[in-house]
Amino acid sequence: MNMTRRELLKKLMDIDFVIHETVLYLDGHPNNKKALDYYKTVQEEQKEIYNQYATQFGPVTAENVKQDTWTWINEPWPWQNEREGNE
Amino acid sequence: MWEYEKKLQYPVNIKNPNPALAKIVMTQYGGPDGELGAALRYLSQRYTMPYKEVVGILTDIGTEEMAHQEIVCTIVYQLTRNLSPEEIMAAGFDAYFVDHTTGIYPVSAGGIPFNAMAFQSKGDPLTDIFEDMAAEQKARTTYDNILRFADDPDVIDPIRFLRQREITHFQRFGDGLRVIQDNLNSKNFYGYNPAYDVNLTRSSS
Repeated sequence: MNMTRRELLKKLMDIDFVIHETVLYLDGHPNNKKALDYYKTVQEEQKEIYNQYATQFGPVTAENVKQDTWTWINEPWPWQNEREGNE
Repeated sequence: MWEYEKKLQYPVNIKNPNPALAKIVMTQYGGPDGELGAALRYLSQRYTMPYKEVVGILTDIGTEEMAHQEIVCTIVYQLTRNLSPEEIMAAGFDAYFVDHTTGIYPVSAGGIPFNAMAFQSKGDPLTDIFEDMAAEQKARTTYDNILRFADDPDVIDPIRFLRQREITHFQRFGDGLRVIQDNLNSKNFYGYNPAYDVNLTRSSS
């Protein structure tokens, strides 16, 4: 299954948002076992997608550069869209 | 986007309250050369910065400045615990206290609330990078001045760390200045604004 950078990025953004929503819920309901189990399940999924993205397209945080050059500063930055020639 | 890390960049463990000192340390949160303005300055400037090296520097230093706000706020918080009204009055902390109790609010040492007029985002790489280098020096001077009044080693230690970071950031922005100049016409650095006069940039390269 070959995904473009944009497709995999969207998948990453989706799973991050799912985790974020779960975190907000858990902050106010720290004893909800069902929510905590769900959090742990999606967390595993998130790890895999992050790894795949970092290996194929470059780092999401400066701490996970996997290439032999400093790819952290490579474009596109999040605010640079298609108009500026980024896929 | 950002994610919060539940730790300080440098430890702060203050044993004795000192509201008079808290009042002057607070200026590095909400004052004219404070960490809040620093973070907003760099993180605002990066959008129109044309060179990826400098975008990286602005992003990463801007992010570090958010961690510095947290250190400054932690110092102020720990200096203002367990105070009696008499101690507050004697230290001249009463004016802050009536408005905020001991809540952390971004003000300068003189009590002026944080003001975005203290920084610029000019949309011109040379102008912005010189602003940033000046900002680091202004913050360094402020930390030097705080150190003139601080007599508690628990406060002096983290303040010295923050002061050193201003010097390091000044050097890193110096790297950014070099990258910007390398991309400009060496016969006239000021011939055009590479963040706006895009066509000129292309035709001259």
